[in-house]
Amino acid sequence: MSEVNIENLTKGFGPAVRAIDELTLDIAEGELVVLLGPSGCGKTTLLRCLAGLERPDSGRIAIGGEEVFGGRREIPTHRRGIGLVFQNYALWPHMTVAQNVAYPLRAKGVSRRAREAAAREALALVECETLVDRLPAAISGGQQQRVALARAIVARPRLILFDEPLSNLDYRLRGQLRQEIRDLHRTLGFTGVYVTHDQTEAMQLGSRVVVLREGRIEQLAPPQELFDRPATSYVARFLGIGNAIALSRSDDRWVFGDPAVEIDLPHVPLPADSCELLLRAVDLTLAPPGSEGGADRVVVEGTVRDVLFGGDVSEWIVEVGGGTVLTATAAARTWPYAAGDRVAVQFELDDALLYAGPDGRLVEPVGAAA
Amino acid sequence: MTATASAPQRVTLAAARRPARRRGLAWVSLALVMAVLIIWPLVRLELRAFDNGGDAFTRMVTYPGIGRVFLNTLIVAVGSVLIAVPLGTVLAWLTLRMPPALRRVMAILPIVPLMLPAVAKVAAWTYLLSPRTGLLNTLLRSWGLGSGATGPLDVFTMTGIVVISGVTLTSFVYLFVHSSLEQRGAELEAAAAACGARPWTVFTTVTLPLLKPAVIYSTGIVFLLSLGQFSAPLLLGAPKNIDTISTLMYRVSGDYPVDYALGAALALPLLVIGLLVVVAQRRALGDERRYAAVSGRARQVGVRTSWWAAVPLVIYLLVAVVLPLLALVVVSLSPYWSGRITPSRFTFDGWATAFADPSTQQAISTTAQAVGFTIVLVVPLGYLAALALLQRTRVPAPVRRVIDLISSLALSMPSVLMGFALLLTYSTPPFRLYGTTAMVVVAYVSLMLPHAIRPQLTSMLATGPEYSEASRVAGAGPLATTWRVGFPLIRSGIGVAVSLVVIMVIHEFAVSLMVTSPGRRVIGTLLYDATNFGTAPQVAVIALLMVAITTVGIVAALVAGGARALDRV
Repeated sequence: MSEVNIENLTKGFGPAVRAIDELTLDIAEGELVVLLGPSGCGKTTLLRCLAGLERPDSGRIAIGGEEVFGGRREIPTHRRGIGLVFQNYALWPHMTVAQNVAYPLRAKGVSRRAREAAAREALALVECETLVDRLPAAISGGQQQRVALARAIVARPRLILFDEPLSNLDYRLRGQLRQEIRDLHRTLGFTGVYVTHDQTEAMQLGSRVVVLREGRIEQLAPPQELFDRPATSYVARFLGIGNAIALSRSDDRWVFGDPAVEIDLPHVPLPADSCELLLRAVDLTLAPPGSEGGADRVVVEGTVRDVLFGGDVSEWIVEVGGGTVLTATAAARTWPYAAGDRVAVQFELDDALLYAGPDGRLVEPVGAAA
Repeated sequence: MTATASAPQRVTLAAARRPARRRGLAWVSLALVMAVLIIWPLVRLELRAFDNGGDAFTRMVTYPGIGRVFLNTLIVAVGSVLIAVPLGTVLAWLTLRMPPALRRVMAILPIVPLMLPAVAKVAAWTYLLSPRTGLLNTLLRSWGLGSGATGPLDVFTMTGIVVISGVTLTSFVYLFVHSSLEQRGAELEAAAAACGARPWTVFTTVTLPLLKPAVIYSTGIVFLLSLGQFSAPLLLGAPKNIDTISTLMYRVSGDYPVDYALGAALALPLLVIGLLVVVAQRRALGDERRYAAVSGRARQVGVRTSWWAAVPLVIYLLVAVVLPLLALVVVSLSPYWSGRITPSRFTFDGWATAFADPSTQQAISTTAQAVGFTIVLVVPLGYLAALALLQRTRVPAPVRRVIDLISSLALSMPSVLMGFALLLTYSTPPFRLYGTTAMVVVAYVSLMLPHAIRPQLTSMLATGPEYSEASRVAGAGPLATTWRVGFPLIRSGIGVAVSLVVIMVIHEFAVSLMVTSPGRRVIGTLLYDATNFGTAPQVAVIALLMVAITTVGIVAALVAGGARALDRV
């Protein structure tokens, strides 16, 4: 039993800062939940509260049905039966790799022979069994984080916490280790909480993803659903959906820019006089100027400002409506346009995300009503 | 199933019943212990000054020559700052302009003068520069400089006191500025140069502003240390009756019965200035963590180097270390001191006599005991205090602030003032410890606490909290974490703390002089007795003994703390 229940958790730093604000979250056994958000959103504080390294102001935390924080109870970190992977690895520099990995078992009082065997086994899982007698300073960053992973899993804790474990690694290593964490999770079936600000990491690793904003849950959903229907424009932007068109109502039409460009949004009942249209870069296509749209296909004309060649994919930067910049992404050389060319930007209404209201809530559905 | 599940449940419940309140109590009692050791004696002393409607102040202002005493104190302080701060800064800057191979050896050397006990150094300078028999003076006269049987230089003057005090304190400035320069590395300067700044612009816009914290900090330290400067005015001022506040306080402490009220009144200006300097430093520097947490991995790249940069350093070492040590060796080997080196008459009689003297043996054993007990008490206290200062979320903020205040306050109090306060507290009821080793130990613990905190704090800051957190997550309790992770990681910091305490205790002179009785001397006070009642070779032998004991202590601490500790002393 290793589900995690967080109830009405609040943690402030001084009177002005509320790092976690009345947060409630249930994590099922074997689930890997990713906490996603920009720095300062409270994700690391939440993780540290789970680990017992930070003391919440109020609320309740239970791990595996056992209350570890709540009311007058606080179980100290070392009795919580957890594993934690740090951003800067935190391998003790005065111990060898094997000693580092065996440490949780040593703390439990496991015999030397048994813990050496277990450490070897854990190191084999992360493909570091050849490093046993090295000191942390003598191995590379990627190896250090693998060893730190081995240390976190060696005692088979009921909950493993990851605090931005891949942020200090280079791009390629990040990809490899992501895959390894996925495999470990699948093999060992631990319950996990994973903090990151990288949306790719969140999408690839999470059973569910929690997007945090100022200590509250902005959205909680499986990765696919999160990317398909970001609940607010904050979530959409954080997921990298950056093409934004600020629309306002003029008579019965939706317009943007100066001079005003009209966008045809058929049959959309809207609660507000202004709204925001967000578009994924992959959902935009470019066509020759003057191209016609369709029933659910919107066309806006603009000028290519720049083309960024990125190897596999390229980005076309198009300015529309005098000042609004859209980015269209496609395989390199998909479209023949270069800087200065006039183009028609097209997108399906089905793919567009429309946000309105003071906290930018998703208006649904956009295209389906047609 | 139920039975197995309930057993660990009970264990965790018991652990959970040790909530924040009890932990808070432990930290509060730590703050209380520190307050009793340091604040209480000071408060007790200063309260005396206001007894009887404050007539002690009347006695003070009518004391003959009191104006001159205050002026002297100020001259020594300002003069020392004017010598030590520019000299130390330039030496530190020059160290980084040496070729790397040379720098590795030379960079540590300007700290060596700190290892020479102040009273030993002052004694040595009297053999070098006393007007009639000073070695350098006879040498200068033989070159035709000066005339007659005395001069041309005289160490027993205000100038002598100021110069010796300034040269001694240069090492402190060097220490702070050098580590600040080294931590930053040359990359920041290289970045400015890459932006098109000329060398002079780089120096004024990047180098100097970055040095500001170190220079301000060391200016404050030097000012306070020279304000309380004791050994130089005591040994050098006596022939011409040059008094400073600290020597006057010592005189007062020697009368019987001791006029504590007068001493307290004299001490008040020192205390107030000490407080003001601490506050001013805090204001100027802001949060010191901003400067302490800089990584030490910075590199010295793209700096033009030259062997010439070593010349001023060598001259400084010659003046501050080599000459005084040579003088001591020569005098200790001479049957009597005449101002001439006559190797044919060198003898070890002085050494033999000193070792045969029971008071020497007794002083060495008292010193060793006092040092041992002090280390055993003060290093763990310092560890806990450093821990309290770092655990921002676990230790209640007021407790942390009190600990912080006490440790910086103790640093800013001249030792003669602390000595006077400790004498009052522990020689009067209910303690009556005067004449015991216990009194010496209590005094040293109070005095050394800040020096035991600082290196351990620096070490902890450098390692960060993650290592201990990782250990707790791995299931190790607080004790196991401290033993297996905390201590090993700050081993060098502990080594530095131990060696600092050894150095400072053996060098400690003002407090020792006040709290030891004539029957139970430590080695520093034995040396002072010898300057008054003994012969020059005797003084030299004891001074060299002090140097030897210091060296042994430092080497032992380095062996325990790892060789890298030397870099941090």
